Amino acid sequence: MSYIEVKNVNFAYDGRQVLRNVSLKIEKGEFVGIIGPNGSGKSTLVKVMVGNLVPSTGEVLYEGVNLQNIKDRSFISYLPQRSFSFNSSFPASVEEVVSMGLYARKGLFKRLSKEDWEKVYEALKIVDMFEFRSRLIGRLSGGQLQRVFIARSIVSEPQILFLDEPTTGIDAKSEKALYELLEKLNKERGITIVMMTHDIMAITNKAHRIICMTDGKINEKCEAIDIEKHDFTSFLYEYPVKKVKHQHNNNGSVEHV
Amino acid sequence: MFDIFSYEFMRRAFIAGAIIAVIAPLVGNFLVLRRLSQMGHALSHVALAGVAAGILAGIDPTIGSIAIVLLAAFGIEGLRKTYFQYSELSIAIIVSAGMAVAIILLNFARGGAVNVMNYLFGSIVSVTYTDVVLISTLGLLVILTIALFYKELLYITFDEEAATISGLPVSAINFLFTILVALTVALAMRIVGALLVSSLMVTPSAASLKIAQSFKQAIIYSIIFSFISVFAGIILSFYFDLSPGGTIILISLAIMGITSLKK
Ligand SMILES: Nc1ncnc2c1ncn2[C@@H]1O[C@H](COP(=O)(O)OP(=O)(O)OP(=O)(O)O)[C@@H](O)[C@H]1O
Ligand SMILES: [Mg+2]
Repeated sequence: MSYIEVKNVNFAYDGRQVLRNVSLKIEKGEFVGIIGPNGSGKSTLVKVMVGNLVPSTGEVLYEGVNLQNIKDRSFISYLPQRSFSFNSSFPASVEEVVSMGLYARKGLFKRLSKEDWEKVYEALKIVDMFEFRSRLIGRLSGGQLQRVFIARSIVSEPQILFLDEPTTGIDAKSEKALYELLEKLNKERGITIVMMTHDIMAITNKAHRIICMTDGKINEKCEAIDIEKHDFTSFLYEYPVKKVKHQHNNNGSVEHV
Repeated sequence: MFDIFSYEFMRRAFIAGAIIAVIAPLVGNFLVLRRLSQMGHALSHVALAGVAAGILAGIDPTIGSIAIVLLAAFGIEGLRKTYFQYSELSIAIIVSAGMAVAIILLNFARGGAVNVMNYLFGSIVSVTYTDVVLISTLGLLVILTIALFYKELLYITFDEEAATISGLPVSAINFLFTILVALTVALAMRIVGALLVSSLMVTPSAASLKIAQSFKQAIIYSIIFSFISVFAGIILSFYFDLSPGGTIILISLAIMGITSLKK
């Protein structure tokens, strides 16, 4: 039995089929990248996987249990695409935003305890934003904001983290830091990570496995492609790219040669 | 100076004013940040229809307005679902319905015209004992409800989608919030008047937005500003025989002007 299993899922928006008989399995502790052209159904797939959308047919199982029958979903955390397209003049401080990640779990009528705030600070330290905790959210850069939202996603100590294009709009340095953070969460805390992205180079370097989507379907041929050779770009986008070789150095990071 | 407190009606006005000064910006902050600041405006028109209905039916007008405004809250919920992409359209529909009903009813209720003026423009001398009891109990209920649902309301206001995904009962809380807005409008109208009730919900929040460094601060500052406006407004309107609603809102706007000087 797989940790997460998507079984023959179909999904349509207003009668227009967007996911076509999608099946996939993800194991505990995996770091999986999902790539595919615009409109191929990645975001829709993740929304189905987190229970935000209900498939028209098929099912999503977590350790064999249908997601529809799982009431407490706090073990799943999801960072939606363009999650920081919010009102930037909203008067919320960084720590307030991160604490929101604990609200659902806390239950109605309960206030955050001292230990809860410790968790908030801990999450802020992980994403390296602790010094900014009292800053207004509107006074942050896009990359800093994204890290705050990641802190909000991990503060509830989820077991699975879904991220939909978290690197869009952030600079190379923050992007590198984000990948390092995700690797750390994956390795040290055993969090299963599922990430959609268009950044094929980076994700093929970091993820254990790549799933490709084209036109609402899982592209099986893609799974067969050797991740080390990462010729996904030309495969998926019918766009020739020069292959870049890379090798693993001994501290586990990847260098381009 | 303190002869002002020797009048029974002034003591009633201050008690009612104190509660209103807290609930109006408390609810107003969430309205402003959810870009629903017109909702208070819409409901105040409905509340006026309730006042007219109350006078006609021979019941306390404040009770009439509370009843009608609560009914309208259900209507808004329905409209929100039907026209959810055109929220300003739902507001316009509510304003029209409220005003139309109010005008027709007021025509029948000619005898109570003076009474209606008190609700339209606000009044401190005519705050009754029943008003004080209603404003205190329902006002405290509003404060208590917001305190209990503070974190949920904050999350929904900040990011409704994320709040839904995280598992919060968003539609139930939205509905509860609409009821809080309705109650606040019906209660605050007694002092500031139907025409200006939404201003008292919006301007203190607008002022606090300029200086707040967190959501908590935004709430606290807006309540402080509203308190200053309401108390200074009641006192000034007493000594200079001004309209309380107009005075309160002008003071509140002046505070907003001062806070927006900060860059
Ligand atoms: N809310 C919606 N209503 C109707 N159609 C939608 C909706 N969201 C997405 N679609 C359609 O579903 C298809 C898949 O969209 P989806 O957002 O899942 O793609 P994606 O792979 O995430 O794309 P991108 O790389 O641009 O983020 C697209 O054709 C899109 O137009
Ligand atoms: Mg997408």
